[in-house]
Amino acid sequence: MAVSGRLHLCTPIHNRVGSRHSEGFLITVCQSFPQWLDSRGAHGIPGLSEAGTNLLFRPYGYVLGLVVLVIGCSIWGLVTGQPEVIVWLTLGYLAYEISLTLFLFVATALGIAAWQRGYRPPCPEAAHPVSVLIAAHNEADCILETLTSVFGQVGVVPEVIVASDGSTDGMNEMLIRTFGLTAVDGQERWCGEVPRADTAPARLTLLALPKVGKGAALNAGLRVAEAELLVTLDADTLLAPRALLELAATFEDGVTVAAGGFIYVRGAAGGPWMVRHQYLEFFRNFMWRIGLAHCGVCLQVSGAFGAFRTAALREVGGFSEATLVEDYEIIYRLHEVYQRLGRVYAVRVAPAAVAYTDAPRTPWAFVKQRTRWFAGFLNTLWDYRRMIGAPSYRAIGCFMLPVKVVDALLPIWGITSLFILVGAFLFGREQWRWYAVALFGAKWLYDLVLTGLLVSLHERTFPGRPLSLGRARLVLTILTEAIGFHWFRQAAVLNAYRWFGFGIRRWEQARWQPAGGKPPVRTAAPALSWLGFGKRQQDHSQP
Amino acid sequence: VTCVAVCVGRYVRAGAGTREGNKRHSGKVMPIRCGPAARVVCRADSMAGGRGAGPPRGGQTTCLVLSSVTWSGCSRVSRPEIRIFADKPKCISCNICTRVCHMGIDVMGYASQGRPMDDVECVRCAACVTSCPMDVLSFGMTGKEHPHDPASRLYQLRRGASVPGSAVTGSQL
Repeated sequence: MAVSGRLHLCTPIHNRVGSRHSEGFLITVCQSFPQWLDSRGAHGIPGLSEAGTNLLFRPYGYVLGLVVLVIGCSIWGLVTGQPEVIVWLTLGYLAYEISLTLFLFVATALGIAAWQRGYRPPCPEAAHPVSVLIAAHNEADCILETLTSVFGQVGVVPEVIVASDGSTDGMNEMLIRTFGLTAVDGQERWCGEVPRADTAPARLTLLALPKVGKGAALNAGLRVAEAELLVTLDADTLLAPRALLELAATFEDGVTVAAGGFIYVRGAAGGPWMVRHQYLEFFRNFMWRIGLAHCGVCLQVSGAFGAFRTAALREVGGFSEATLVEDYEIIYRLHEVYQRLGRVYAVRVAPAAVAYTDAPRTPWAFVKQRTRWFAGFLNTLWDYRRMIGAPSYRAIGCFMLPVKVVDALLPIWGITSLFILVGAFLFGREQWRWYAVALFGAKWLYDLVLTGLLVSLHERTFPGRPLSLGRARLVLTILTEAIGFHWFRQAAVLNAYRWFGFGIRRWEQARWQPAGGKPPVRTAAPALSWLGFGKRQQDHSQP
Repeated sequence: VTCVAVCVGRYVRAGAGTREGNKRHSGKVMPIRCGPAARVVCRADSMAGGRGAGPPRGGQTTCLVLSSVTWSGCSRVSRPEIRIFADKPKCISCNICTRVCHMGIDVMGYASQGRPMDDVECVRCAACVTSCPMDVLSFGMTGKEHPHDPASRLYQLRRGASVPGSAVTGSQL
């Protein structure tokens, strides 16, 4: 296939407009190939031409094939008993992980440097109006605290919408009683005002929906949101006092369509080991995201605390109601639609917007949550496979999604490597034992050094936000990661492959039918008819 | 005295830099020089130390670009903000507030000393306020007259202290 594309330095997209920094260093083939566009991804959005867009080029096949080939060959070599394959397999896995994390670290350092140069403390008077949308199902025990932390925000008086997704634990009644809400539209919509000492009262809307699913609940909230920005918040996520102000300030440039905050896991210092590991994991991930957003390839804005331009959300059709990870899917859709429309846009991270979330405390809850996340990731990647490797999606298509493909299949490789190393240590000859020990040691050391660098970067950047875990606990957490936490993560991944294979694609299926059946899912249509929200039409072919 | 440092050097936010822009931005303008050695004593100094409304910062502020954290710290003092105050004599040290805190903050430590909550991790979720059996804790605004704020005129009058007129006027915002 002849590609006559121009090679040029592709600067991060958010740096091209409204900023004087341009540390772009991703060299990608940037050219638009309209004839390659896939008509299946049109989302029914005006402006996205569907005519003449028969898909001629599906590069995802090549990418996927290559990754499967490499992994398959190495595992085949192992089965047929070639000892050098063991070396290649384990070393290859480590080399990939190390090179990726090194890239991420450099990107993060550059991203933080650029952010610090461009950062202005936001001005409360100029803050965008914000709607905060909390989709909650049976969260009576924590929603009040969350709401209080939202209403106590500095500089922003948000309009808060609680979309109660069929709550049966008395959450609706509690909110109605506590805030003195009055019914506006039958028994489904309640409104009230929360007085504040310093500013105008904040408005609180409660949508008492039947059980419709998280995506549908979010869409119902999106429908009634009036502000320019929509912040999605989990009911168990508490906001730091300036979080909304900082997050809203990210949208000042006019091109940002989505921005994520920095989420820490709370209660790590005195919590169980599972929470400590997740604290470290969240910390690493959110640091990486600063780097990814700097490169213009951020694929993740956490729904637990993320902001979207309301108009952009409506334009791309709202949240998906047929996915396990609606916050992840929406970013893919935003990228796809905006790249195809040729708009200048940015998905960013606001490192100064801080939130604290709850993490599963027991291994079982953790595996369940991670299974849902990873299965959702696999489903989303498969749904948007047309973007993988496609040059028309620029750095997202050419760099980030191929990396995601490797990430999706890497656990197979990782688990095999892990078993090999453990096997080599337990049953192998002496040189194999030394090999296993050396490799494990090197990985441990690398993790320690890298996390140490990240922590010092964090300390240097945010001196007012010390990490909850002290140094000794951090080191202990890093060292025990490979022994305990990692295995639970891998168990979740294996379970997620099973979900993916059986086509479990919705929260409801995940909750009620873990065996892999496909029960009829109650649709949102009748309940939400008064909101004028039908189910979003989208092609969801089963893998 | 409300004091917010505004950088009038190279790195200014849109609208600032001009006299009008600065006024709109903060109120009181305090120009500072940009550069690695740019350090001025913030006029909120007395407030920062006297009110106990924040960690000791020495009242110093630097260029926005070099140390945004210091700057926003200064800004925190000058802008009214919702905060949790404690009525020290009522505290019976039952430790319920610390136990219910979602962020693991030693709330009782603050309450038993009568200090307003200034932990950076406090999210004002009110878990401690609502669970306190003795109503020790309450919400209030910094810069407003709150009876449990040690820097407020009301507090000092209640404690029988003589109140110098200028020192405790609080924020004029």
